[in-house]
Amino acid sequence: MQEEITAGAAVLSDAENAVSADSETEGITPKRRKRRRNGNFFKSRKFRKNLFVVCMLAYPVFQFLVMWAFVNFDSILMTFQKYDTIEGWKFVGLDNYANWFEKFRVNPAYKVMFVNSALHSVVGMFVIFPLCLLVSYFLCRKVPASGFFRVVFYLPSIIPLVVLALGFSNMIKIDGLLGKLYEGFNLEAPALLVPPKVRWTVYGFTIWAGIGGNLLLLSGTIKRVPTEVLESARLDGVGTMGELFRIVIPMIWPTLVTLFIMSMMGIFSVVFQPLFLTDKLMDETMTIGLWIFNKATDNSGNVQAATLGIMSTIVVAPIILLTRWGLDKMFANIDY
Amino acid sequence: MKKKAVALALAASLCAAGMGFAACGPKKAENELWITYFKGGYGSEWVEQLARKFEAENAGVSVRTDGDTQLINSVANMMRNGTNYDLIFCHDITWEDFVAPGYIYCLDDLYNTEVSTGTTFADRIWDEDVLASCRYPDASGQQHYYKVPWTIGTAGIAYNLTVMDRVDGYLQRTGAGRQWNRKAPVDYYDLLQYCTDIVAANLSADPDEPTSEKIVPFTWSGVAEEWQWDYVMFDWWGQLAGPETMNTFKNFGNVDEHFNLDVSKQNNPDQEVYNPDKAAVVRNSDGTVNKEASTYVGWKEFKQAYQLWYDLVVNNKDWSTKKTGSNSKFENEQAFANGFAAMTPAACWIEYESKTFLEAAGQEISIMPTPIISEVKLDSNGNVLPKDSNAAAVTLDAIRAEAGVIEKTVTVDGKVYNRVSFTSSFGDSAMIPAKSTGRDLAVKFLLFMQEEENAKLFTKLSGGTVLPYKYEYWNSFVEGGEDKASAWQKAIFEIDQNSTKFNNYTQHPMMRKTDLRGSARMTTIWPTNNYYYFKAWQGNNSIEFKPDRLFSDIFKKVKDNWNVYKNDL
Repeated sequence: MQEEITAGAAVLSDAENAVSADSETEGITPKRRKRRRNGNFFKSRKFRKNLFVVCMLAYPVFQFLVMWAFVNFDSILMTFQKYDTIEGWKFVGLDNYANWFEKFRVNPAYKVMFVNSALHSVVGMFVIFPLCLLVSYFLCRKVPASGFFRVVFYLPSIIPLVVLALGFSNMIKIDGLLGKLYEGFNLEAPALLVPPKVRWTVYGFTIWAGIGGNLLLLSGTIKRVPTEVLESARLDGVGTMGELFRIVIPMIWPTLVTLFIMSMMGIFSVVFQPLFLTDKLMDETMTIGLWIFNKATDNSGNVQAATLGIMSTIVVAPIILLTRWGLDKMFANIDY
Repeated sequence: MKKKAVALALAASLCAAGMGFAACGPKKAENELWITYFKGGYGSEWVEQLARKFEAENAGVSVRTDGDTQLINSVANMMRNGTNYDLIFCHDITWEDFVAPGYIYCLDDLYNTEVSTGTTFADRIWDEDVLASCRYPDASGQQHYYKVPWTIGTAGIAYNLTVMDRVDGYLQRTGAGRQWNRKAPVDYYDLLQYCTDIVAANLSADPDEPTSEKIVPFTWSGVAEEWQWDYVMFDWWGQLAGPETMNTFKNFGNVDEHFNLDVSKQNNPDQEVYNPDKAAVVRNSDGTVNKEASTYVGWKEFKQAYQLWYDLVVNNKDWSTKKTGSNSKFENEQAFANGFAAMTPAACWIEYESKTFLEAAGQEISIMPTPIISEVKLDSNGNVLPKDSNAAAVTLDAIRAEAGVIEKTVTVDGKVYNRVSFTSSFGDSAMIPAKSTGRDLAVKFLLFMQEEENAKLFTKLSGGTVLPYKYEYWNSFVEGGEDKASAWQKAIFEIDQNSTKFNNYTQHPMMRKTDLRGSARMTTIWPTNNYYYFKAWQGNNSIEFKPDRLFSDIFKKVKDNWNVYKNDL
């Protein structure tokens, strides 16, 4: 890189000398010469390179300032205020935060909400994600009808959530497909969409709908693993599972880490699944995201939602960053 | 050439993007009135026809109407960030939030407008309770009008007349010696009898197919709309404790002498309103309320209403459809409209919503005044005893009308009771955004809507829904001297005309700002909006949903959380 810059400077210097020589012969004034030199600067590789970098960064920086800083500034500010229904907004310091701690202490429904969200995260990380990896791997091994299965598994990811939830709930209803099956065996179908079973139904739905989510990404990544490496491993007697755990996973580790972190975010991203499935807001299936969605309709609800959002971020963000740091350390980055 | 092509493509993209942005905010002419409304149980016909009529009466004015099934989710954003709409009709609007920041247009001038000689718009409103619900204090504490109520809902137990006819057929065949003759059960014991008759009749939903599903007394949605049982519960509560108790309850005891919210007391709400061991009213020996001795604070009567519901529904689990745990709101309405059940808890819009199914299935429905809790006898465990039992531990009774009172009463077994009816959808509102460019036209439209002829037109086109004005809604379907109202509509009008209406709308910040309301958008009687009807029905007599235990648990939870709620005030 340094050599490139030195070479560039030499080229520039040569060009300046040439311009100087030309101006002497053509009688150009120093002012015009300076302008000419500036013109050359704008055409220089260094300028163009910096311009490229600035242009590329401008959009994300703008995006960050507007869509994160500006939006969240308002939310953060709101957490230090209270809405008086007659007088309007009032500054209340840390009262909203203190009250949330008290809410967690006295109201078991909030504990359930946090446990639900955390469990969605756990299900995402340790059930959906491994299942998705396994499915992707086996589909890449060219099992019969792999293309068909790829479509089948991926289909839930391209169908709108509301349609998917409606289909799923109709299927498991007492008078739905599942109900008919039970009827066939002279059994009474369980009520899966109401407490106490509804909680597990929501997890079941997120698993069913989530397996295909990362299928394309993982399949693409696994396919990039050089066949020479896999063939060599097979010649050395490595079996299917050995190939997956000792060759494929280490080689696609950076992608896996990213997807794993995304699965962790299930703590916030499970929002509408319980609502669409049951058409109802219930303590038993409440999640942080759904609670915030439901509350963010009026000023008082906005304050509570914003405070919960900030508190959750403060708790969860370090865990996610720490996890990422730990996972990054597990395998060396392999270029191929 | 290549550069030119790229430039041309970029220019075309820019134009397309520009046109796209232009489409986001269409221009609105000065003489245009834009109305958006919640497209639900009242349909769209009313607004379309009223809009055309308004245009005809106001030359040069054009009215645009946009129905929106999700308006409830976007209305706050519209008010805060501006909208082209001049008039918004929606339910569950937290319009009170828009007063302090000045998002909502003050309607004092509208309410003071003389609509006919000596009669202002305010005079045309249903009653003082409704009028009070449209006022809100500004920062200086001055009360102003900010909204116009949309409808006056009627709710209770809907019953299928066609099924009742078939039950009568069975009774006739068996020589039971009684007939229902399309008349609704008058008191609680009548209701129990009717349910018993339905079960005994063992009727198939499809008369031509004996093996088809049997008709059950009740269908209700435990999944989506179990709260519809509230309609029945509230009426029983109103019968036992009077509408005043509901007013005190929803305002947490912070009421003035007229049982309206006293803003000066609202920072000191009383948790005792949830005390299930404390009766709100004290009775005189003749069954009337002793107003001096009554505090109107206490939940004992509500627990008693729940006891009656529990005895009716939970202790008779088979009286409800097996699909209670899976039927959605619309599936429940369909089941009722198709004659799979004799009754369902419902509000006034159900006939209009189920119109297609009712016509297809050839069924006719009506709504009953909630049966009177006339001297219901209970044993020490809360089980209902026969009417003539001498072993009653408790005898419940509705509040008797005071001597000489004959209006809005009902007579059962020679005793005269106050007749009450809960008003559903009381939070339905019409409001004008402060930044609206067509405010004057919007006000004019509201004045136009309250006119006798137009109010009747609304009632007719919305399938019998009543507007909160003083008008002859009961004549809305009269054509050429003939009343073409359905049995359902006639029943709605009869209930509204002859009952004291009460509601659960409140401006108390405890209900509107704190976690006490849970996931409810507005008011909820059950703390944190947790309902127990389905859990109790499904729980097979589980102790935790029996009245004593349930209400004691609820009160404990309320007490545990009271300081948290108060901190949110």
